[in-house]
Amino acid sequence: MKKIILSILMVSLLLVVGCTEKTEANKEVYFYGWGGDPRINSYLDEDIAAVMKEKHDLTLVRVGMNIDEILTKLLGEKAVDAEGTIDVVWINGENFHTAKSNDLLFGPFLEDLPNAQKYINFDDPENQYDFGYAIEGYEAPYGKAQLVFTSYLETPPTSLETLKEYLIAHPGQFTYPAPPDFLGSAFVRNIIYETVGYEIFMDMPADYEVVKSALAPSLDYLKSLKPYMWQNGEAYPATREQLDTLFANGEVFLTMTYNPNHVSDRIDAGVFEPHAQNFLLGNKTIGNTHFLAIPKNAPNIEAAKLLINELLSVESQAKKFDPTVWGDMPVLDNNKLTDEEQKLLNVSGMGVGTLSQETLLNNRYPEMPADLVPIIEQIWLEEIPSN
Amino acid sequence: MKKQTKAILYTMPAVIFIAGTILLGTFLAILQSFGYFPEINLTKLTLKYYQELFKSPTLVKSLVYSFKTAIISTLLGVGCGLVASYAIVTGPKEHKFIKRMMALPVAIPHIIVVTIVFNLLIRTGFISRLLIGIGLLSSFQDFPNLLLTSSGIGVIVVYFWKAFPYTMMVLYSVLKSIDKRYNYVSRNLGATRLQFFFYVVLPLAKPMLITSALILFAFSFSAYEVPYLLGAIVPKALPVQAYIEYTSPILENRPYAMAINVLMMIITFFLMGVYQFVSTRVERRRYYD
Repeated sequence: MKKIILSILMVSLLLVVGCTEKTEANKEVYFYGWGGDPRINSYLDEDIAAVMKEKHDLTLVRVGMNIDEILTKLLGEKAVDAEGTIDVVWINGENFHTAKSNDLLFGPFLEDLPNAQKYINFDDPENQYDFGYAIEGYEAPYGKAQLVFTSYLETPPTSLETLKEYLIAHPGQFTYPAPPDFLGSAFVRNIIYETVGYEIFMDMPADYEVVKSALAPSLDYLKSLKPYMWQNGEAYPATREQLDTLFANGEVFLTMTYNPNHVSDRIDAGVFEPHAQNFLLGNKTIGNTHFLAIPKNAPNIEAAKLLINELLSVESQAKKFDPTVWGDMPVLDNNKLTDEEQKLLNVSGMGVGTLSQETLLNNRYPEMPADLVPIIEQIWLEEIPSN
Repeated sequence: MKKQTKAILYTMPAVIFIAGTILLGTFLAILQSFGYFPEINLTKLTLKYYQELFKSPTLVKSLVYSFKTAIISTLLGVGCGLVASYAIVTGPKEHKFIKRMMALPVAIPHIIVVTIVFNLLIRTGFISRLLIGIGLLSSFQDFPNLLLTSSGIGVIVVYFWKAFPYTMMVLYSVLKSIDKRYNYVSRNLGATRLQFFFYVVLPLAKPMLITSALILFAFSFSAYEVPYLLGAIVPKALPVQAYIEYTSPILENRPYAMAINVLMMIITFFLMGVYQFVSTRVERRRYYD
């Protein structure tokens, strides 16, 4: 009996020692976000993790989790007032809106970060509003995406009129992913901007009837394309990957992506032929910024700030922009960079088949306010595929 | 009595864990479907979400689509699985290779099968190119649209691809355990091979057959990823609709997702109830006969 009691004591002592050691160290910083792209994952797991270890002696632990699950987790933790496990969350748009309005985020913190002070233009509307929703320092910009189109044509159609002419001449060779797929939804918004302009949406109330009447010309245009579309516009690919497959097989003449460097990666992988080239369909295309935020119940807020600050360094942003790493556009303000820093960023970003960062940034629409997006998706579903 | 208590005690941890998580999840889903979602300050119970669901013009079409794809793939899979496992068991010698092969598709996740089927069956896919290569088609335009359409063929193919070997594997062990002497006796009494199959093998395999059919149906009726990736935009399969509502950043839409989930749950429970009812009646009749 004595032996048993003694061994129980020993074991619990060990546990206690183990635990205190762990809390004393507390040398981990937890990054939660979408984990569906191995290249993005290895950027964090290898490049950034190494820097964090070396500079701050912090172990970066990346947990791949979809944002809806992250929000559910944070909501559940809030309901029972529990400390969380997430230090940094990768977020933007409607989900940021949901998280901030449900009081799930810590902040404001953006202006506390040295690299934000040094490199970020706080007056840039893209750093003030995320899908039309005021950021107020609760998010730090992480990277930029922009809708681009890819085709094998030497002179691809670059306006809505020429696209339609091309389709009439080459019926069945065009489609886009069905909203609410992220990319398909962005494509539809781009058509809307090209047909009725973007300004009217910036302070439009999230009212079904108001939005629908504003969209009328855009819906007419999309309907007029249907007879010339892939499968007569009755079936749509479900994802970007399916559209890429159709494009690679030659079934459709273009594909699209939110990552302007995606084309270099696909050419490199041998999926697209080497003469695939990006272009902009229309005057401009929608761009958006994706962000990093800190949950209110983050276990290690200081570490979270260190990580986000590190991700805003010129080196991290340049590495991220490298098409062989990820190809994600930087968020740093060119005017705040030294010549050398600018050179570092520009050299790393040019991939095969891509457009220059300058062309992209000069032809960029802001994102639509987040609460209009689901309404537009619903209207598309009611009006386009079934009519 | 003591044995029974012991049995209950031993199964308790597993039962508590499984039943606990399922019941709690179901309970929360039902609560949310009635609009109780305190995390976002919805606390008033309401029938609103069900009313909207049943008012929706697409509900019947979605139901038909889900039923159609689930029933066809299940029946085809179970039917082919039965015939194939019977053929293997009664075959002249054991084919180890075939036995191994049939376990393979069971281990491959649905999402991989979706990718395979997509690349096989799109108009510029492998099969179409093969047919063009051997001269049966002149161009891929002649190949029919099978995927992403309201026909549901792509979805059916994927579920069939999984259901067929699954049934084969399950029934193989059942058929294998049927006493060989039944065969000799029935054949001796003048039964043909077909009669032996229908009057001896089928009744013995029936409970397992129905159980696997129910499992397969319940899965293909309520899983979202396959119809999401290979199904039509209109009509959308019910689980896809639920998934879209659930993942919407507008948290106020979650109750709709839960209402759809509860509806799907009721349908599968109803079918299981029917099965239970029918099977106990069949057993009772057998007992009294």
